[in-house]
Amino acid sequence: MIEFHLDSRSGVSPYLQVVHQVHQALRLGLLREGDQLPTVKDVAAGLAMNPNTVLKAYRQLEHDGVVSARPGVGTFVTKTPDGPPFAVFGPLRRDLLRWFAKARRAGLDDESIEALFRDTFRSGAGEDVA
Amino acid sequence: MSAVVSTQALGRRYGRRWGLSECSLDVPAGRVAALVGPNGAGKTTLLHLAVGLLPPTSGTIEVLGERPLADPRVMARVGFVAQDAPTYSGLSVADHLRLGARLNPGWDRQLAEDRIEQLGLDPTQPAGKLSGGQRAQLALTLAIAKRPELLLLDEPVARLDPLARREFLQSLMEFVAEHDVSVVLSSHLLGDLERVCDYLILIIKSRVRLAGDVEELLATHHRLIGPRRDPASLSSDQHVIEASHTERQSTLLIRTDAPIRDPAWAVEQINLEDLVLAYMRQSADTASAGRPVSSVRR
Amino acid sequence: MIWLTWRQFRASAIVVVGIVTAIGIALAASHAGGSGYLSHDHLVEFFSTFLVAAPALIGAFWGAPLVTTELESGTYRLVWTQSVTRARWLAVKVTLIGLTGVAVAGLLSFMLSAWSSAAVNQDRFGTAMFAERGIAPMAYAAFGFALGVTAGLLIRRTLPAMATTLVAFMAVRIGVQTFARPHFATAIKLVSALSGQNGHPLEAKPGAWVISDNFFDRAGHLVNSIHCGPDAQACMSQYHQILTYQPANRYWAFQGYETAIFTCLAFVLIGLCFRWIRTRVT
Repeated sequence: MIEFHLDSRSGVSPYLQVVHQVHQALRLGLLREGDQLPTVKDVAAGLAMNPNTVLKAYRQLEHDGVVSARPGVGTFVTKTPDGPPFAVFGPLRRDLLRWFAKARRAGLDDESIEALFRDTFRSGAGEDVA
Repeated sequence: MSAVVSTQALGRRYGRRWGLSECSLDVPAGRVAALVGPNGAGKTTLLHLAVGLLPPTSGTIEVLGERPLADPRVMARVGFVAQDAPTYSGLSVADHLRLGARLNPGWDRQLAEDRIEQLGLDPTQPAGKLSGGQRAQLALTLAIAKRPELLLLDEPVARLDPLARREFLQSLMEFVAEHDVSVVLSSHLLGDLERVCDYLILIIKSRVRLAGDVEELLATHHRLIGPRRDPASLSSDQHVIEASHTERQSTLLIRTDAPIRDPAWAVEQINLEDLVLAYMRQSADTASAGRPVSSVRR
Repeated sequence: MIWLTWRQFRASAIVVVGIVTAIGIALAASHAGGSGYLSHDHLVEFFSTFLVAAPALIGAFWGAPLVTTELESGTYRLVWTQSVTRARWLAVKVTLIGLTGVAVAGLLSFMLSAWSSAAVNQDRFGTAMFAERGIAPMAYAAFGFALGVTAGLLIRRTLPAMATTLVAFMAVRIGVQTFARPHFATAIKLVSALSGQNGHPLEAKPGAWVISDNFFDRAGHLVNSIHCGPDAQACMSQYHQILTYQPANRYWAFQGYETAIFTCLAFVLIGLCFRWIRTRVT
């Protein structure tokens, strides 16, 4: 069973973090069709998280089509994502490694690399809205 | 859904000082509401008014549809944990449970005993010998085992160490998950709030500055970063809460319902803690309470 | 609520039961002729003083802290938010603890009467002993307790409330005793001239309460001492004695009046407490 964690410093709302973690687990093959998600109560108690928010995340996942709730039983993964097969990860990973090497040659240390990545990623996401 | 706590121009005066003034709220049911504000802002006053420990000086308050002072049956539906979790230091844990059983008609003895056991508390130990975290958990048990529809908690985790704080909130969230209950939880610590609360009430200097769904508040407040600009030049449907400028750059926190179309701005989400802090800073800078005014910081 | 009152009062109750039992045993034993050290009458006198002090102590130690300890420790925020009204909380506490105080006073009074010699009991109508016998001590206890609860409720801090209770109690007790009690019924006043043979012709019967016994000269001035030489008869006849007293058969009526006054005061105070606890306390 998947275990959730919350990063209160990440700037991402808790509900989205749960949704992302489920999608992430599906992408990486850690969650498969038929697996049960932890109960709302267990997530709420484990993370000290508002159960309404957990429920909202689960509903979002249901809306996304990846899980389905069976009343009285639990929430289960319905299908693995149609998304890109794991094969496409390989080349992307290689590109990333190349970029990391480039950044290190330019003199950036690990923390600068991570900062640059996060900032570009976040503002890149933000530019969709303005 | 009707409101669990509903106030109209509620006020309470202590001598010449108003602890709470012109407070109008409607807290919807089924939420975990955070009551935040600096120390002395009026959070405890509001909770004490809700629980019938104080009569209003002006305005009205209704809890679960009833006036709090009027009826012990209302008190049976509301669980309250006061600041610092007061307990009788000479009475044992078991004695406190007996107190709850004798003084509350709806007492769920099994729930109380299961919780005490789950918490690992020794029933024979006097409450005076418990740690702060244990006393808070005991007080929460007393409030919970009444099977209330509404839980009011006054800074329940303020004096607890981080582990005790986390365990308390875990306990609380577990209870909320299992039972149909609304919670109003006051705190001056903002860090835990975003994961726990879905409704926010911000009180500064005895007045309500902000109240609403967390989701909606976060959706309508944005941080704008862009080239230096006078905040007054923004459109009228964008209310500036806070502005700070460097030589070349302006960072604004605005509240708006409309989308932001100006491409010059980079728009960021803001988290709950930063939002609350911005309002608190704004209040500190404003001479009169209640009007959003931009503040310039260097 | 009854359980809670008992649980919080338990320690005090046990101490007091112990004290009263010890007093009872001491009195019974020495009445039967057992004590070596102290004479029985001395014991009686000692415990009688204790009975006089008891209502004030009940007020200060049981009445005043009733509300103040809850306020000072903050536990009022726990107990007054359970599902009982403050009125009910107060009613149970006041009734149980107040009645205990009254019972203690009554028991002490009974024991002292039962185990005092007849000679000692004869003076029971006098100012000194009136408060140590009969039913008045119970009313004093009720009043002292009510006064304590009221003081605690208004002053809200334990030590000042205790001090105020003691002072106010003594003021009222002494006030009633000095100004009201002599007038519960019109005293009997006897006048007699003095004669050479008898310098003190008027004597109150045993058990009466002598309010005043004075000598006056012809002009009506009070004289403290009379000196008469050889011609005693002529000299003495210039003076007369006025004896004002309440006869012994009014003792129980007076006990009744005193009890009624203090009981009424107690009820009035408690009534005010019920009103004030809702509005004036927090």
